[in-house]
Amino acid sequence: MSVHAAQTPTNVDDILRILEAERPASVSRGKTASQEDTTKAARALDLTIPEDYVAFAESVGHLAGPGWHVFGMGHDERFPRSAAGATVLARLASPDFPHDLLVIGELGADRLACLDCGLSPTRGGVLDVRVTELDVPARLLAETLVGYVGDRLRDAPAPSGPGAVEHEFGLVTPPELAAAWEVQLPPELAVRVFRPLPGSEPPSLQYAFGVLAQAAQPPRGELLPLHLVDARSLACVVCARPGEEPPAAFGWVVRWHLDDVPRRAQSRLLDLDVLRYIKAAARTDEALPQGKRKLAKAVKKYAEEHGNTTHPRAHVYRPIRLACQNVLVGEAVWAHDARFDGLNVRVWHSSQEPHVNAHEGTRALTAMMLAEAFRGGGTMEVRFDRHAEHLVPAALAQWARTAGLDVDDDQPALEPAVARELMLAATEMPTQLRNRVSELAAHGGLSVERACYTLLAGIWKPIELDFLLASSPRALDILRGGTHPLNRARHQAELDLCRAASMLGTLLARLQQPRGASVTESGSATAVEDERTPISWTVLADHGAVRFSGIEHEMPWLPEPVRSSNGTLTVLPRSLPTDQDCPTAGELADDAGVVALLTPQDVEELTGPPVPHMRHPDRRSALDRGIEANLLASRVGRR
Amino acid sequence: MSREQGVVLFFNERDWNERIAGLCQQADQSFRRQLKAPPGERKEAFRYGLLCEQVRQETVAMRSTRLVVLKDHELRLLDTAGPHHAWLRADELLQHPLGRIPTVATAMEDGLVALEVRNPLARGRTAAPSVDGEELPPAPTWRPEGSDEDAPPPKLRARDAQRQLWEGQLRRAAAGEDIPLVPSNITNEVLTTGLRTYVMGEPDTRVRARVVYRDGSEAQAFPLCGLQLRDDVPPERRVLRFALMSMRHPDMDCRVDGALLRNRLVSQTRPAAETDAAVYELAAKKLKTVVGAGPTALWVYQTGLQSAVVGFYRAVTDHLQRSPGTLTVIPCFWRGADKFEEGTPWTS
Repeated sequence: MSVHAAQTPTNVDDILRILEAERPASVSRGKTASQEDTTKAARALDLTIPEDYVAFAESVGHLAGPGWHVFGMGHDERFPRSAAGATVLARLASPDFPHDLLVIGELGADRLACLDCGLSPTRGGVLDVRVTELDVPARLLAETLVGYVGDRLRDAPAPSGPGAVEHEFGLVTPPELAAAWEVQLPPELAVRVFRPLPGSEPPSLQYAFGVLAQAAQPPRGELLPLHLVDARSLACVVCARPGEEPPAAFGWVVRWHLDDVPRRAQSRLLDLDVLRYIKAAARTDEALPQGKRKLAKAVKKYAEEHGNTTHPRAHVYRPIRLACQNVLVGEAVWAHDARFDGLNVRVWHSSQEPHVNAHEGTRALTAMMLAEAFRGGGTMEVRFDRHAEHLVPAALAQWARTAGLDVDDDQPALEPAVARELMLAATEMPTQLRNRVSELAAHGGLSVERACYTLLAGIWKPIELDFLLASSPRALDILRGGTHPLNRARHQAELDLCRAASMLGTLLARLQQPRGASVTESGSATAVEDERTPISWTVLADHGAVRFSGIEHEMPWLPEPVRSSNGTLTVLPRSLPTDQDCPTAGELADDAGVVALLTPQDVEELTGPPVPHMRHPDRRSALDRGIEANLLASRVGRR
Repeated sequence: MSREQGVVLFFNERDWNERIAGLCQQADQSFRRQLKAPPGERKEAFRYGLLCEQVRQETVAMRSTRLVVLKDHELRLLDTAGPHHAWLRADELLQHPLGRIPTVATAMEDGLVALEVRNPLARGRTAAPSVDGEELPPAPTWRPEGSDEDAPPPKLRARDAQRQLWEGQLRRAAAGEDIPLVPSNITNEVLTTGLRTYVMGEPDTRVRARVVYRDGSEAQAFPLCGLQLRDDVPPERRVLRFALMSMRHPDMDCRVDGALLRNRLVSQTRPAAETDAAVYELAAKKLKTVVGAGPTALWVYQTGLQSAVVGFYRAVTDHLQRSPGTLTVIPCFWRGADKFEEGTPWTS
């Protein structure tokens, strides 16, 4: 897409026209300067800056193409140089640097493109200045700044297409990629989407491959960098090798971290389709500034009307900020709306951060939103008419695609049926628990939303709910808040189940603690924020037991240190063991794993065959208090 | 496979009295206090649970003289028997649900105490939950009457939308459709006005509409269409002004003679249906007392706890049906600061 010779600019307005009309794909623009910027710079540099450069800096801004720049005057994060800054640097680096030159670009390791400000107050020639040989006369590159820019625009070569990618990088790209590169992008995004441009400057593919090559974990060979997701990760398209069978994930967009992240976090799916990925990113970026403004207004209004003292009613718009390790990953504003008896969402945006899994902010914000829709009552319809996108946010639909759901992001609302599917996906239950919930829901035992809300509101943890549902038909009564305590025998059965589940929840949390240490040699507690050892579990409904796998450290809560040689631990949680429990534990014992009875702290020594006895840190009365709170939360929560 | 096992253990009464009777006595006191407690109040129930757990713990160390294993249908019978202790003395055999279990009744002798114990994680096949229905469908979307269901919601004030939602439910329920009234998220004025409109009708057209709160709890049905109400306040009546609940808006304190309901008893964390029931019970008693001194016009300055409003007007409706002409209730809705607006009187 090079500029035709007939369109050679004669003034700054011509440059603007060419940039608007032709939109050369290999050329990117930065921020424009204000009059104040240029005046300050002129004063600081003690230069009379030619008028055509001032006009350029104030209307065009920073311009860059493959191997060339014309610096602007304003500070721009994407182009860390400004003409004023570069000139100061040049003067500092070389005291002999001519005082009447304004550095407007770099041409090589020791060559600068400089504007001669001593010639005329209106126009200045552009010189090629060698910093190391200032005594040699500088070569004239162009008579004027406009001429110099015109030459660069005219010479800007057309970007190469997917065919060139195959030729240059040895990759067969998915057919949607060419269309993705043609999508009109907002300026903020355009500089972060890598395309086949000449040279090795961003956003060229050459540059992106260079960045990818420096990743702590070498990327798979068939990845083509597409988009700078955040400061430390790239979105890459899964391509194929010429002559080879395309991989199963051909055409998907995955995220490659540049840092040494856990293996499970590397190469996570961002989208199923490169064109939809780029379109979603463009739509999200475009809506973001308006969303931020709306959020700021909502925060101000909320602080004025409610502050930290009063709890607002469901119809009051509440600002939500979701953070992970003090980094915002999602923001929203929503309220219950009586006009359609559902949740009205005005602001909803999420972000990808290097320390958070792909789409995790989106998933978590969706989970919060749907839990709120459930809690606040109504039909579970969620509308986005007043959102900046006026439609279901593209980021939400993108995450849904990766979760296997097809959410129409051309609609302004999530219907209750779609909300149900999304809630199930956002809750991220382990497969076995999900199957149990689905089976119960299919027979009308409980609603899917109810099960999800129980987990999202933290009433029961996944392992606790899994154990309850697997081990007893009383689980449904427990999820409805339990029977009346004055029907003692029935309530005691429920309470025993709840205690068993509660002890399992704490045990799992303990096993997941990193490095297996709760106390160091010095006696102080160690905690590694957000680090968890991945431990899986299976409920052995046959025995009222749970088998944990993946344990690499010593078993907690046992009188003697014991280590499992195959990494498994089978526990029978019992609030008051009976004579049957020790023989049952004996049946589950194998050569390698550890089998133990898990009881509250205040259970006396076991009688019967010797079985390791794990003591939970809490007594039964303490467990009961927590359980009573859970049952109350279940009673006042929506069914 | 884990299944629930229920056993009844028999202990020598002398041993029982030595070691456990004191605990049982305390537990029994808690049990009785809990029975008298207002709906949702569980402090005594929690204490009762702890005492029962101690009883169970003590019996572990005692030797039982005999044991009866309960069958599944016997467990179900006991499950549905309502509040009862887990222990049984010989002289309570006829009143206690355990006495209805033939094997227990046969084994029971003078000088023995029986204790029912459940082990929910005994070996055996886990029974499937007793549900055999169909999946609950997602709720249909809702729009105010006359709006296109596929179009974005119309521009309406929140209160107007609430009115349409509430009155739509009332209209359909009054017409005999089996749809519940859902008072949650509806302002107290809209609730009261809607109920006032739809409680009117001939006595033989009375309908009992289900009331379901958003927390899933279902309250006592509301009687619709059974009252003949007039719009004016009959003269020559004793006038009383009450806040519906104490401590809600101190601004109204200078206008009222007292509060009908204590906030402490009503505003508790519990299912909304239990609050509704508690308010109904308290309000019914208060209304009876109020009209005891003759026909009364009661100005009720009310605020927005939905379950309290529904419970109160259920009590008013029942009262007007039972004792027409004795009571006039004039609702007063708070309008901010010290302003109140009178609603249509409830009088028959």
